[in-house]
Amino acid sequence: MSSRDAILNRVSSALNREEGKVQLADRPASVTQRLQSPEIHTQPELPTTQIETLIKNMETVEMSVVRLQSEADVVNAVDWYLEEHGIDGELSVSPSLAHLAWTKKVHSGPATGTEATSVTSCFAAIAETGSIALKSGADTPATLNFLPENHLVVLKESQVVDHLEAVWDSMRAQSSQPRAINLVTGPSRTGDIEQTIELGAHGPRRMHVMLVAGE
Amino acid sequence: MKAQSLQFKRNASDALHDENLKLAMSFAKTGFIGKRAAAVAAVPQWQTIRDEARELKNHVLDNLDHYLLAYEEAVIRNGGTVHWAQDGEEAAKIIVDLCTQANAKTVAKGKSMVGEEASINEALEEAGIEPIETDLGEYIIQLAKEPPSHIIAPAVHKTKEQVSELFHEHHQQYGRQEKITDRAALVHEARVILREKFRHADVGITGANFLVAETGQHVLVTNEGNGDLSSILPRTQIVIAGIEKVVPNLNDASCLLRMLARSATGQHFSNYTSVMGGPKKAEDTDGPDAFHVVLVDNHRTDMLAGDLKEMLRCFRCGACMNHCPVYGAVGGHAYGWVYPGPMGSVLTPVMVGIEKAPDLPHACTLNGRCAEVCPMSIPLPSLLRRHRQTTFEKQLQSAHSRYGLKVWAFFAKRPIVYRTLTGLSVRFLKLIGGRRGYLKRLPLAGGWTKGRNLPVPQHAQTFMALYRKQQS
Amino acid sequence: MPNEILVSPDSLTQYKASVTLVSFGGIILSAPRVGLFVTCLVDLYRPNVGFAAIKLLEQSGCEVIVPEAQTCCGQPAFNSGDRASTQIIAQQVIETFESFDYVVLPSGSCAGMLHAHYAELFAVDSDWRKRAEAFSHRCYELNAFLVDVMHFQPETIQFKRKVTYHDACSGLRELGIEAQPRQLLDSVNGISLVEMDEKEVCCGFGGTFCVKYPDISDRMVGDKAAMVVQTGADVLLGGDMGCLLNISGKLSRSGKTVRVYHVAEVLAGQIEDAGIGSADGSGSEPAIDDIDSLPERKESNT
Ligand code: SF4
Repeated sequence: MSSRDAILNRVSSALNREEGKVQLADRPASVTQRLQSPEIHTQPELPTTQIETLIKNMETVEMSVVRLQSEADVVNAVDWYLEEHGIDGELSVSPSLAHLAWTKKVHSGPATGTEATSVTSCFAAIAETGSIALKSGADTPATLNFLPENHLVVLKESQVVDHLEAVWDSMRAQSSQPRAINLVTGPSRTGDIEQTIELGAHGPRRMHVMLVAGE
Repeated sequence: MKAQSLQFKRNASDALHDENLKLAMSFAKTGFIGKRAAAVAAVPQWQTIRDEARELKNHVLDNLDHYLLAYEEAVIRNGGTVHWAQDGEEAAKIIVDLCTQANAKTVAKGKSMVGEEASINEALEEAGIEPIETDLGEYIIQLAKEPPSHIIAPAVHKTKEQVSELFHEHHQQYGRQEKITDRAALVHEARVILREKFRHADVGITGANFLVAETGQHVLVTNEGNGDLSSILPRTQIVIAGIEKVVPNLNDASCLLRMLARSATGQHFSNYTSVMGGPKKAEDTDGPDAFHVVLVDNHRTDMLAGDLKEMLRCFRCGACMNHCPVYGAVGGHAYGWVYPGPMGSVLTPVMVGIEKAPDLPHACTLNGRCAEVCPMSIPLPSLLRRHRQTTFEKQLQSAHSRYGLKVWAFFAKRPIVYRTLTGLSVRFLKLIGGRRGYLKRLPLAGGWTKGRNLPVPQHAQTFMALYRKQQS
Repeated sequence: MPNEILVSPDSLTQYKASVTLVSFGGIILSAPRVGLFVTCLVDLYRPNVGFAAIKLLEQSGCEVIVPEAQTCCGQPAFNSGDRASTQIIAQQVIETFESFDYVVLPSGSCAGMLHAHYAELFAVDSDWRKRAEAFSHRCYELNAFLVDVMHFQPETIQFKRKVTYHDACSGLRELGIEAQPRQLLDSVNGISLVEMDEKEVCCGFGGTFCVKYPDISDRMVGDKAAMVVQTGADVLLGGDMGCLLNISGKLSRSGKTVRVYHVAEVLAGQIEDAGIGSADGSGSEPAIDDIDSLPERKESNT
């Protein structure tokens, strides 16, 4: 007997199934229901408005946030941020942002591992947790979220949702699923030395969100 | 890793004398407990969420076979492969085979407790493949050649100075001669060295916090981002997880995620919560070419069948050990195997055999704080008592304590004889220690009187005798 | 809902126990008959606590009976995994005490044993299970009983001391006893209560634990004693003899003069001596001054 069957047999017998090992077809309605129409569990209420909660939660985890009037301001805001923090080095942007009128030389595509900074779009932000939701794909390669030291994110106000579940709902509504969804909640950190937090363990040391008004 | 739990007593008493450990554990105590309390207090619906989480996990356990099949089906749909391992050994073998097939020389590993159960590192090394732990804590203890002492903070037992020594010793080969002591600089040095390793790793192995049956994805939570790098950069991605990790859907995972970080570290959410599954898609420009999941039983089905089923709700947050005074005193290594603290004292006897860990269920005052903070409402003290019953039935406790218990029970069941005995005892104790009010030493109570005095009875007569006298 | 009948009348007649409706909406209707289970440690170590408990219960309006046939609640066997012995002892306790309206114990851990664990000892649906369930609901820790059932306020007691209070873990977590002793102490004149840091942490007693793992237990009680001392209190109070013996032993070994009493002793105004683990000054027995002369393992112990 394969280990698969042995394990499934043991599970079924532990659960006192009369029919022995179960098959896919034996799935009870309660299980099908949960697989096909997920319920929403109790969600923590947002203490203030959606945007305020989002910004507060982001700031708690050391993400900085600026608010921009329109996407046209992004390039300036990036230039300003890099200058302000004295950041040089290569800049990679997600292909979804390649169309912007960049003033610097930018590389567009997955991270090379040598860039100092990435600028990416995202597909949602969650007020409840202060997280940016990014999905992998040709337009938004996941490596850009993890390899550079500085990660700058363009977020549109219309993309902000209250709770985690809204992100999953919008994924479910799409025809094809990405390989990965990364919820990023602040720069990479570790508390592994004497339980004291240090930023920039493996991923970005700085995270900056440019929150663009409107759609 | 080989279980050393039989030596619990000796390990514990060594640990009690370890000053570095004492210092390191004091950081943990102040860190975890206060932060968790604040994080939990900030969610007024905490108890409701907790109750829903328990129900959710109970539902999963009652339908575990169905959900495993659903998850497997979905992984295959995503282009991944599912492997099943009955125990740790089989899991290690599957992983070594997969790495060999991928021509792997080095493997980047994210922290995985099931991986520790399966002793993957040892197996890989034997096969000539270099495993590299990428979680900073795991990396530190890998350099120190030690097992983790905490499931969330594996190097919690190490002080900054000890880390500094270790890095100095092991990083010279990379041309880093200078010994650094600054915490930020230590973190940075590890980052630089591990980054190189990531780039060359052929296979990435991580654990999973949840397996989502709805989508065939898994949820991986880290603060460092090492789990994601281990998942994206290497050509082959392997996920190893216990069969109890499956949840029906992403909303269910969300319910658990709301409790995980708060309970573990007191963060409201961990830095990186990634939902991943399958190899990269045709249009993707990054991600692994191959995706494997190894589902591990390793006695989980035994728990499912028996009266320790509730333990399978555990999602490895570590809150129970953070709040355990015994763990705080002796640290994680004393427990002698992968899982320390209260959850470890329940799991280890199941996974390595209670004959090899008879002390663990007993080394607990049953004060109940672990169960109070456990977000999954696992009645840890009751589960430990169940193990105690087994050790009693199998006569695994020391002859000394079994005999003591027998004598005590004999008297406790016979009130009249009991009266006589207690009358004699108080008289004796009063006789030898009455003037001072305490004893500094007493035969047979050597353990107690080594560090503290033993109070002597107030009177040379028991309450019952005095009361009887008063009544007549 | 301590003010209501706690067990359904049917199950009562069935098991010969007769519970009277003793209080309604906070008004005591008739004197409840209370069986006092003094617990083995009070019996042996601190008779004063037993007498204090009787006094308090009588002051609160109860008729108190102390059954002869009591020994121990069974915890040592229960926590050692000896289920068979635990069952026998539990049956004995139930038989001895089930005819009372209430069973009161001056100990959170023993009350917890009766209240929270007796029923689980017996097979579901067995007669003993039902009997244990009906019994458990009427078992109370002393402080909780005085406050929650009897709505008692201690008579004018003076105790001009700075005290700190140790919550025993079983009482705290199995029975939720935390507010009650503090509420009672609040009506003591002159007392000032300072809470210690980490007050919810176990003292390391743990019944058989402190015997089986004395080193670990010693570290834990050392931490606890330090917290007690840190408050600057000159008296430590608590509701469980086990913890109090343990902490007092550590305090006196480390040369601390903090006095240790069971809370009932203070509430009843029965502070007779220097406290638990101190010489009472009234003992008539001769004391061998130094037990060190007795043969024992050779180890330095001071
Ligand atoms: S037993 Fe509970 S508290 Fe302990 S690790 Fe598991 S879920 Fe967390």
